[in-house]
Amino acid sequence: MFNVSRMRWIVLVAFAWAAVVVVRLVQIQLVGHRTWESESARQREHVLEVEEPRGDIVSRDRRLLAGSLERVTVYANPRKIPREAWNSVASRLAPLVSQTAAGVLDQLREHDGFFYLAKDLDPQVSDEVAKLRQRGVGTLRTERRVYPHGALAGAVVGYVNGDGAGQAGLEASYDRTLRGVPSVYRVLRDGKTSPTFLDLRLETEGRPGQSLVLSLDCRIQHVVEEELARTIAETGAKAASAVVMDPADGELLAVGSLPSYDPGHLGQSAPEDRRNRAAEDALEPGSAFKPIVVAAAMSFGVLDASEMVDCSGGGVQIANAFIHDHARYGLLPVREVLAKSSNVGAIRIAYRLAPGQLDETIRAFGFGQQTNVELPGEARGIYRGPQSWSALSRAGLALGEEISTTPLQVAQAYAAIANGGRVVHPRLVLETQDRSGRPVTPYKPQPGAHVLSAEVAAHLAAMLEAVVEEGTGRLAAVPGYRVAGKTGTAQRAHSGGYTGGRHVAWFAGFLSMPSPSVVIVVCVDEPTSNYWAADVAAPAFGRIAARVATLLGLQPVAGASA
Amino acid sequence: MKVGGYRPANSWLRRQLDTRWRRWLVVCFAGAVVVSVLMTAFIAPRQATLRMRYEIAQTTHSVDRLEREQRRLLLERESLSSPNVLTADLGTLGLAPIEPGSVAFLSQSGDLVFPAPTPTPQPARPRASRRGR
Repeated sequence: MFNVSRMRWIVLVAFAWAAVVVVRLVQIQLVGHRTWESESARQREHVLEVEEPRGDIVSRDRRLLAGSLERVTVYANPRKIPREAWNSVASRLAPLVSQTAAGVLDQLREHDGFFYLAKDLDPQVSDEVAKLRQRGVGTLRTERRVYPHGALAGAVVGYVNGDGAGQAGLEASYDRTLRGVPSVYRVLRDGKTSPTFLDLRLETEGRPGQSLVLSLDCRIQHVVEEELARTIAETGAKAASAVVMDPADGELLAVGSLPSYDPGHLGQSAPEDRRNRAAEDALEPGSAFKPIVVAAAMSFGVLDASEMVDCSGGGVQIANAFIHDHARYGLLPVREVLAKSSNVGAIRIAYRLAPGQLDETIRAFGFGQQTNVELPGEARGIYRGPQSWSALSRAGLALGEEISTTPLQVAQAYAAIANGGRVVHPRLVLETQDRSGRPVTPYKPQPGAHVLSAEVAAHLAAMLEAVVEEGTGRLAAVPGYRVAGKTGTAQRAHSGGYTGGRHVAWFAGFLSMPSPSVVIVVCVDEPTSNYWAADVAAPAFGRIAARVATLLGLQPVAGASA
Repeated sequence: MKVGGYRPANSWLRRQLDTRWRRWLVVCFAGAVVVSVLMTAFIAPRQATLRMRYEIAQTTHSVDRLEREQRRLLLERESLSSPNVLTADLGTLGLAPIEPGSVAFLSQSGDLVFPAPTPTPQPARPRASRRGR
């Protein structure tokens, strides 16, 4: 018998079921469309990233400091090769991977799955392996980073790891620029989720890495490293570093740091030799800091260039310390305070300044701050402001103590004296270029802030010239050129005190007066035979300066003598 | 069944010849020609394209190979002409390091200027001091 009520219930349930299905369909097809589509694509497609070639690193004289070579890695997967074919596969693969057939066979037996059979092979091998048409054997394109000049500028250029990622030097700081953007492809997977390459679709077109054009000059870099090596050999120093810089725009022509390393043969170097001492080692500058104190005093009008400074007594009592001078000098003109590197004179000048004035000048020269050179791990140096000074601090600063600086910071400060008072930040990268050599980010020199008036800078440069002509820096002289500079010998500070017998010798200067075009800073760490900067760093400066002047074609100045 | 005196014959039948066969033949031939021309016109450029693609692929492969070789040679040249290597080979090359005093310059007036070879004086050696100089 027909039951209307039951029929209504059945229809109602059917409608309800249909409604549920429709709602679910709407949910899947409309609301969650994108999610399910991407999930489906993820299951059936394989995303393949293909690295683009890494950019080169080139010096300003167009020498290739770092470049990449395309290489090939051969892999094998014994699971995908029929066991009865192993012998023939091994015999056919062996000559391609420069191994014996027995060796290849052993590796097939040893491995249970995918393994690299041989790496760093000629790309031609790829074609030969493809001709074998053997499942389970294939090639991968790789890159080998090559450093044709070996250890030359090794600490500046840096190195990459096994995956081609920059680990030190410019390779690290410009890693993203050098790497470029990888191309992204989508390929279909087969039933075993392996890529089939049947439907290769380019999703994102990659961009090859850009090349870096450096301000370094390979010839000058070589000269610097050669002379630093000679200095280390002659003085028994632990290490040495040097910076050659153009004072007009801060371009670094050479950054030497020894002991150095060959980025292509990292295993042959000790880890402690892999740092760039010119940027990472902050050391007390000693008397090389005295010109900064004199500059501060002249800038604030508490010292006149023609003034006589009382350096009598052979020493000076500051708080509870008596600081000696090298000799009893009496009254000295300011230029002789620097030429003779009088401690008493420098201290008396420093105490004419209010702490804030000295602090302002020191900071304006860039001490205690990174120079922002394009090198990773650059040290800020150590400089405490007046709030942390003791009664002795101004005396310490006058002698280049209570402050630690990197050779780059010293070069930056001396460049300001050489160029008429502008602080220019050192820089290494002139521009980046695409693969075809077109500039991508061209060089834009930054106008530096004035820290000294041109008049003060000129007076200071003349005083520093006297240091080389008649003072402690005579061994830095270069025949035919007017050289200005200052020596600095500092005891090595260690664990809050000074360790006897360990010194740092500095010489910072520029040539050729009256319009210097190159600033050179030499820092010799822990010389053993003789620690005086006048005997250790000044001659190294002189040799470097003489050769750099020749390489740069600097005209000898009429009337200049050594 | 045989009927006496009657011999079946079809001589009274005259074959009706289709006189349109020539026209059909011409039409078929013309059609074949048209099809051939069309096919040739369609296929020939594709075949040329295919051939060009093949040649491009081959040339690209050769260019890649030559670029790799050029790159390898460039790096080798850089390595061999590195200042470090040249310095080590100066003697072999019959060269000698240039001393600063042996370099002359042309002045703006055109005169050859040699830097004054003044011997470098020895610096005054200070007494040892805790403070640097």
